[in-house]
Order: sequence, then structure tokens, then C-alpha cells
Amino acid sequence: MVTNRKNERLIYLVFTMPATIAFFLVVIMPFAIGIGYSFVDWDGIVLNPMTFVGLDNYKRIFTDERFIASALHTLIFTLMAVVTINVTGLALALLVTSKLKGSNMARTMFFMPNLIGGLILGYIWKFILSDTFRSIGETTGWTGVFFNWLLDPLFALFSLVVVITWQMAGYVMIIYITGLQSVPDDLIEAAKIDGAGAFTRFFRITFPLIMPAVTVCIFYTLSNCFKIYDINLALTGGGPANATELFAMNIYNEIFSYNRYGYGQAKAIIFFFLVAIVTLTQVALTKRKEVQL
Amino acid sequence: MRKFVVLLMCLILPFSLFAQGAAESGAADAEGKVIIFQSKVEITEALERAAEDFTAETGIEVEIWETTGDDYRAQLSLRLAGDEVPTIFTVAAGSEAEMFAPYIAPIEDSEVNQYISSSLALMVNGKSSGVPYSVEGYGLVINTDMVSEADLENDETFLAALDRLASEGVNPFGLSQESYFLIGHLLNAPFAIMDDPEGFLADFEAGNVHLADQEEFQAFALLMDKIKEVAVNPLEVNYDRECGDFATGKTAMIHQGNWCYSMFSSYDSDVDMALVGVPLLGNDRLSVSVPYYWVVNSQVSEADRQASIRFLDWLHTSQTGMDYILNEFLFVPAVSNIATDSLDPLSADVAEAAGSGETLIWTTNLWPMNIVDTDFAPLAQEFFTTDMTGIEFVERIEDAYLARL
Repeated sequence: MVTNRKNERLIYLVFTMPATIAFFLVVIMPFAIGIGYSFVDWDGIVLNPMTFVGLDNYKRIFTDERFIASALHTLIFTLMAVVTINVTGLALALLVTSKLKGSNMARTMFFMPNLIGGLILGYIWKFILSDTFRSIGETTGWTGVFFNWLLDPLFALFSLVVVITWQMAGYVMIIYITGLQSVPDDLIEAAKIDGAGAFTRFFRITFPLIMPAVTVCIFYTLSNCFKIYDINLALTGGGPANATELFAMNIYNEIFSYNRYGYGQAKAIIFFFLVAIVTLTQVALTKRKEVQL
Repeated sequence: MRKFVVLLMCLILPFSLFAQGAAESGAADAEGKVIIFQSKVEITEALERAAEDFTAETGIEVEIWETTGDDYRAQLSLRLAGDEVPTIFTVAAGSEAEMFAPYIAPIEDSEVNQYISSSLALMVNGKSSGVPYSVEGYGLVINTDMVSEADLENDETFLAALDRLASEGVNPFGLSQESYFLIGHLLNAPFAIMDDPEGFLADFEAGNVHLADQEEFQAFALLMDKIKEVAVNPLEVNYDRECGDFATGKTAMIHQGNWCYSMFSSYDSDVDMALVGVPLLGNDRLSVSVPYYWVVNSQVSEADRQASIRFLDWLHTSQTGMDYILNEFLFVPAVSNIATDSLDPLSADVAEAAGSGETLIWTTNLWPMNIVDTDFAPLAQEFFTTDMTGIEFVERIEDAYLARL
């Protein structure tokens, strides 16, 4: 028996070996090396000297105004985006699972933006939110809404939220659809007979039952929004005046524009722990709300 | 037994992938191999054809890697750290060449070296180390039907001309949203028109002088205020529109360089144009210099280094090579053995200015590396979107500059 179980473990190990090796080589090792780099002062050129500075890089982060501003913008952006993506995604899921005509067609169309790469999406929307909006404003006179959004610090941040919602709502919609389909019809019917209105039925029965999907979707959107770079780069490039420079872009600029490799690496490590803490807390919290039938 | 075989296969499979990769790159040539890494997309195709001609003539293999100008420096530091490294790459003079100095080999044993004038040479550790790419110049591209010589006389006449042009319904002064076209090149003017730009920069970096106290920067601040007041907001304009509006006569002048002539010719523009200096304090000189240098990697085998030097020699001294530089790359040649006739109007202005020696230097290369992208461009965005005054803008530039030292 004992040898058999040992054998089984060995087999497991063998079968996961390629994946384990790949994971170790491309995730674990670079991460460990990255931690090492965060303790040095270095410009990223191999032949140039690397000086060990201990925890100085980490200390500097807390007085770096640009990084703190960037953290704040990322936080605001993520909060807004997670809410809009999930509300829109869930609304779309409800729409296409209701027995409306053409709902299959709609499902495909809502998912489509997700198939377009973030960079291209960013450039398309850049054109819409700046040139097109300005022209609409000039012709209609509604300049309160239709002006160049990308030139206003706050509206540039909203633009990012709009674009990422447009991109990701279709994806979370798919997850919500599977959640909605697993809600048994008899429960809904029973509630209907008991006299529960559509509103009550949704919030008292459907929503608690799709909680696993909510956990997954919020986790996915949260971690994705924190790490957003492509749309940020293509749409605003961090402007105006760094008002939309999010975490990932700030780190990239630190390393590749300011050539402060060690310091940028330290930021990246802090960034990792921040994202990990926030997302794990969220998973723990929403998991608790999940109910079993 | 079968299990053992499976185990063995699983172990071997991933490694065989690596092994194959290693075998492919292992074929080193005794003659050496040239790998060029460069960022100028405009010349990539022609450069590839030139490389083929070179290989046909000499048998030396040439590979060309490219990337766009935006992330060239980041890419370069990554590529230099890799297993297969470029043997020829490009750097700008100044802080960038200093950063990559350990990788730059002297080229004093090359044939082309004798044709590089001492004022254009790239000196690393006291040795000539780079072949200048081309000569480029920037300043104001003016529509000569709208802007007269009298307008460029001094600051008052120039600002008055901007007002007049705006009242005539054209955009008097075009800039565009890309960092160097927004502020980088324009900001060179007040630094470079100083009597001794390098001395001034040293003084400034030491904290002895303030930008806002200098008349050059006060004139610059007034110009910025006027641009914000009467011109189309440059943040609404990209490079294509800036050039397009000029080519179609909607903009009277733009701050650009001879490189944008290819844009105008694709518009079939019949605008009569000239490239002139930014008239700060009556300045009439263009900013002319060498944007990049070809340099040879010092960390490659001797055979590769020799092959690379041979390629640069061939490109700059053989008839075929010179033909490529002049007629295919459309460069204003920076080496003295290539004759310069048949240049486009803007390049001719640059070549003439370079010949006369009455030019402004590019202080941009002496500034802290990348500062235009990381600090000045965001500041300019703030300037053009808030009610910041020109002189406040100059003060903020000073703060940002000193913070980078």
C-alpha cells in the first residue's frame, strides 16, 4: 500500500513536471531575482556598477510624491472600474438570459470588445474621446459633456474607466451567465408563487446563489484593474500632467525612463504585496457570503 | 519499466527544447557577423537592402533588429544584456553615450573616421567612437507667404505677428502633443542662445543661477504665454495633423525640423517654406546637430567587431553605400566625403546652416536623460491645461531639472 501511494505521488510529480519547471523558471525565479534587485542602486546596464543600498529603496517610496499620487489614482480608478464593470456585466448577463429575441446575437456582440487588444482599443477610444467629442461639442453646443476628456485630469481618469468597462464587461458577463444558469428554476418559481416581486426575487434568491460567480468576477476585475498598463499607455499615456499615471506605468517609467532599476524594482515588490493583500482579502470576504443549496 | 520511460521522456522533453535553441545560435562564423539594432523606422527597409548588397559583396552576414524610437533605450539595455547582442547600435551624444560608455568601442582604426569632422565626433574616453548618422536641424518652419522677414526681427515684432496671424483666422504657431515636439525642441532655444550654453548649464546645475532671472528665459516665457493665448492648443494636435495643417496652409508656422519634409511632399504641398531660427532675442540660428551615432559594441568578439567596422566603412565610403545614405535614407550626410546636392528645401537650409557654422547646439542631449519625457512633457501638459503663466512654467522646469541631478 505504502509503496503504491509513493508511486502515485511520483506519477503526479512527473506529470506536473513540465508545468512546474516552466512556472519555476518564468515566475518564481524572476520574482526572487527581482527581490534581490530591489536592494541595489543600478541603472539597468549590465556593465555599470551595482551598489548595495539595503532598504533605502523601500524607504524612499514613502516620500515619493509622484508614486503616492499614482497609487491614489490607481485606487480611485480600480474602485470605480470594478463597480462599473461588474454592474454592467451583470446587467448584460441578465439581459441576454431573459428570453428576449436576438439574445444570442447580443451575447456575441457584448463579448466582442474583449477580443480587441488593449492597445488598439486605447487608440480607438483616444480618437473618440478627444477629436470626436470635441467636434460633437462644437456642433451641438453641449460643451458641458462633449469636450476633450483626455485634457481634464479627472475626466481622463473617467475615460480609462469607460474604456476598461467597455472591454471587460463582456468577459464577466460570460461568467455571470454561467452563474445565472445554475440557479434552479423551481426556486424562482416557488418564490413567484409566494408573491415575491422581480426585485425581491433577484436580491433574495438569484444574487446569493450566484455569489461564487461574483467572487470570481470581482477577483478577476480587481487584479486586472490594478495591473492595467496597455489601455493606460494607449489612451492617456499618463497625461495630462501625470494625472492618470497608474501603478504599472509609474513603475515602468521609473525603471526604463529614469533608469532607476533598483528603485523601480522595490516599487514593483510593494505593488505585488498590495495587490495580493487586497485581492486575497476580497476573496475571503466574498467567499463568506456564498451560500450552499 | 514503462513508467520509467514515461518519466524519462517527461524530463527530457523540456530540456530538448532548450538544447535546440542553443544549437541554432551556436553557429559562429570565423568571418564575423554583424547585428544592427536601430530605431529609425523610416530607413529600415532601405537599410535591409543595403545589408543584402553588403553581404553579396563581402560574404559577411548582416542581421537587422529594429524597434520604434519611443522605447529604443529600454530595449537596448535589455538586448545588450542578452545572449546574442547587437554588434552595431545607435546612441545620442551626451548623457546617453555616457550611460552606455562601457559598451562603446573606439572606431579610430576605421576608414570612415578620417571623414568625421572634430566638431561632430562622438568622444568616449577621449577616443572617436561613433559615426554620425546624419545632420538634422530644427527651428521654425514658416510659410513664407504669411510670415515675412520683418516679423522675425525681434520678440516684439514676432509676438505682434502671432496676434496678426491669429486675427486672420490661421493658426499662428503649431506644436504637437508628442513630448519633443511639444516642449523638448522648443525649450532648447533659450538654453542654446546663451553666449556659452555649456558654461551656463554648469552654472545652472551648480545652483548659481536661476532660469527665471535670465532674459532668454523671460523671452521664452512671453512666447509660451502668447502661444497659449492665440494658438490652437497643441495637446489637441498630433504630429500628422501639425504637419498636415501646415502643408494645407491652415497653420502659418510650426516648430519642427527638416525630417518633416517627407510629410509635406506626401501632401503635394505647394506652400513656400523655409526653416528659420526661433526669434528669441533676435536669434536667427537653427538648432543643428547629429541625432544619433552608429557605435560598435566593445563586448563582442574581435571578428564581429572588425566585421561591424567594415560594414560602417562600406556604408559611408563605398559608392553603393553612399548612394543609400543620400538617396534612400534621405539623410543630410554628416561625413565630409559625401557631396550634398539635390536636397529638399528644408534639408538644404540645414545643410547651409551646418556649412556656415552659425548654429545652435542641442542642449537636449546634455540634460538629464529622458527628462523631456518624464518631467518636461507632463509639465507642458499642465501649462497648456491650467492657468499657469509662462514664467511659472520656467520655474517649474528649473525645479524638475534640479530634482533630477
